[in-house]
Amino acid sequence: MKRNQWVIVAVLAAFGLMVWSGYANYKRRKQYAQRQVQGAPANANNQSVQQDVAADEGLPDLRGKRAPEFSLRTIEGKKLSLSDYKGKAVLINFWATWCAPCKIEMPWLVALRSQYAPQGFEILGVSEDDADTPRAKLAKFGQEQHLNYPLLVGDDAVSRKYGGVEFLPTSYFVGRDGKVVAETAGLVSKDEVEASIKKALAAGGK
Amino acid sequence: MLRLTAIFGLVSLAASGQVIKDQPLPLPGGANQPGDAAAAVQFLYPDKINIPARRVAQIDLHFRVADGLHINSHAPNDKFLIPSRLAVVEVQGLNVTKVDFPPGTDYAPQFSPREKLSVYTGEFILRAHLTAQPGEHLLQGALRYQACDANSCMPPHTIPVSVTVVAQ
Repeated sequence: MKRNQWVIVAVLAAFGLMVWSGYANYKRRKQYAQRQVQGAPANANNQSVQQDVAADEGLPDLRGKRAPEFSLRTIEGKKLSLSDYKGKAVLINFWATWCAPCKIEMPWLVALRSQYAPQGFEILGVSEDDADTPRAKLAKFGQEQHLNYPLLVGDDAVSRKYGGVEFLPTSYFVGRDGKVVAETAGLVSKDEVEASIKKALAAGGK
Repeated sequence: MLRLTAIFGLVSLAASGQVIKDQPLPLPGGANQPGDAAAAVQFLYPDKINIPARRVAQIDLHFRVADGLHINSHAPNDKFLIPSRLAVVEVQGLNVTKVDFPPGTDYAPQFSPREKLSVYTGEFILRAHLTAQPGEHLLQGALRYQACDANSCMPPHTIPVSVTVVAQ
């Protein structure tokens, strides 16, 4: 075979590999989305879904590890740290005003916060809106959603600690012992959120 | 998190039925590079177009949203959602006077079927109205959009748009 023919074969092979790789990636993502749409209830399958989340969405698998510490300002300007909630179960929920699925889960979060706060549960809503988004806009959004938990103005450093947060909503459930017990990227069912909250409350004892 | 910064010195925002001149449009600094696999939207064509000089002409700019994703239309149904917008660079001898955006199609999220978002999916076309002096010009711009799939959303992005306009 002439040299030119070898070059053509090599180029075609490389192109084929790229196409196959792209298709495989798309297929994995689609399968994950389909599983989420099915709204898997709280059972053993959740574990595999969450493992896939970590693998497919580029989330760092923080489960079993101490939740990265951060200090951020609330939209009212008050400084707030994760360590302020030592001994409590905490849901760190990354959201943005432009995120429609985030808006869908917010009423669930409000209800679940009311239900489980007496047991030592809190939600920290970390905004992924651009840094120059007026605080008033964030506050208005919070008011319209009747949010009953602190809204924090996120920054790149905190997002990086939690894997970059490329998809919203993204949630980390932190047990009373400060360790991450569950993590989700994208909208999941209310049942799954509640199951993860219960898991966080159970982790580390009272 | 994505930061907003001005890019390219983009100065003209053209919207359906109106043109905002000399107003910088803040766009995300992380504009995708051509061929960026992560881009949810691709500018398809044209690369080059011939138009009559000194007369109003139209260019259809073809874009495609990746399968399984949607982006907000130019007029989303919710004030907090980020509309798709096109910014163009003003260059000597080339004047974009207006850009028509197609109406969005209704999209009901899986978990909230009663809610209706106005979105673009698949291929969509923006029609730019322009005039040009005789000669070859480079129409440069950027489409800003915010994409989601059924369950999650990605931060706003911009993609470059570039068309060679030959006016005769």
